Amino acid sequence: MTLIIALKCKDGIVTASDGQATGFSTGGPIRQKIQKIFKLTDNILFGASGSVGTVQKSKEIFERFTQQLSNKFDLDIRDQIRQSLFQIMKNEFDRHKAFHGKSEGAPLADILICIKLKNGNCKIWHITPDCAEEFLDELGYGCSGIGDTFAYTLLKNYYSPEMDIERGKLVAYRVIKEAIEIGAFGLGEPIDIWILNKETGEIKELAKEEIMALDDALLTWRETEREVFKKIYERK
Amino acid sequence: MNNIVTRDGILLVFIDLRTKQEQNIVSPIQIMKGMFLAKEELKLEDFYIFEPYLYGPCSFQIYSDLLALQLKNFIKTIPGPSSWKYYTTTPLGSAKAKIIIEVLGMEKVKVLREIKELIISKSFLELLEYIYSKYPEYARNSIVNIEGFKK
Repeated sequence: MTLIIALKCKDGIVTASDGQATGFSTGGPIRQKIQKIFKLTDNILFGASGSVGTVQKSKEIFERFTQQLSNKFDLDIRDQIRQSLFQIMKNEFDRHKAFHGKSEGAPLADILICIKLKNGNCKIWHITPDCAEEFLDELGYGCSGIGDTFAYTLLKNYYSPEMDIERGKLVAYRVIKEAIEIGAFGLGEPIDIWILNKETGEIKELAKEEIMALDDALLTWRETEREVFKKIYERK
Repeated sequence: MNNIVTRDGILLVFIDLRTKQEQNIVSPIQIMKGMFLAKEELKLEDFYIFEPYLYGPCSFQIYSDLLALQLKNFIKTIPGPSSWKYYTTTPLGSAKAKIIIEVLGMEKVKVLREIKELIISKSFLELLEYIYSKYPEYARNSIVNIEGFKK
């Protein structure tokens, strides 16, 4: 299972994921650590939830188009990508239905692309399993995967378009961490966080040390919340 | 600093030092603030580089060294309340710390012990308040508005 989120901050995008996949063995489902966000080029990050195999095939499609995407992010190139993806999804859907006799549970993929355009703007491009598209940066954030309703609930309270990347990293970490700790969605560590900085052009994955620092910052945040509530109770 | 008294050596000593409270377990925030004060008060050069972070002064190098000290079996973590993870020395780490203390000198060890006692004596918010008021330039990216708590 997977949870991926992307937040549009005033100076770029922060995207984060959990790090656990559910694999299948003869004896039943097994946990595996897996990377879910990938740097495709110096301005594009790819993340996807869903069946590991379909995600891999979808990533291959994007890799074929990276040059064109980097140069021109227009309707034509997006349609070409979505048509290629549609073929993959439809094949998986048909195969699953033919074999299992039903379409539910077909191994599809839900894709979140974070891209820095040549004009400096950042977009969060969402491609749904039926290959419809939408731009989530207009809402400020996007989520993909099994824990998405949980993430949307948290982000509704924590997200602010005025947030910078530094605070965006902490919010992203908290959302994924809470989903792992609370939700029974089959999510797991390690948490992976990437940033796409539109001012410096930097695109990078956070090192283990910075993830540890974020964990301590989150505990600081929670500790502060406890103090706030304590003060409220004391007043009563 | 010489070969024995490296930055991770001082970190190890700080974690190992017994205080009046007989406490040699410390949280990551206490370690971070302790190492920051050690750098400032002992005027340590070639030491950790701190930046104003979400909870005040922070050095990512300390996290690398904590991981490395754990791998060497010099320190271990103990789960604490509210998901905090505390660090303490192992017998092997304690023995190593004693060797470093001899080279470091009692004067510096005394300052380190005083810093640890100060840090342990303060609550979480008191510690942040102390650091933020003494070094306000390191509080500028903090997610905690200490002044807000006083209202």
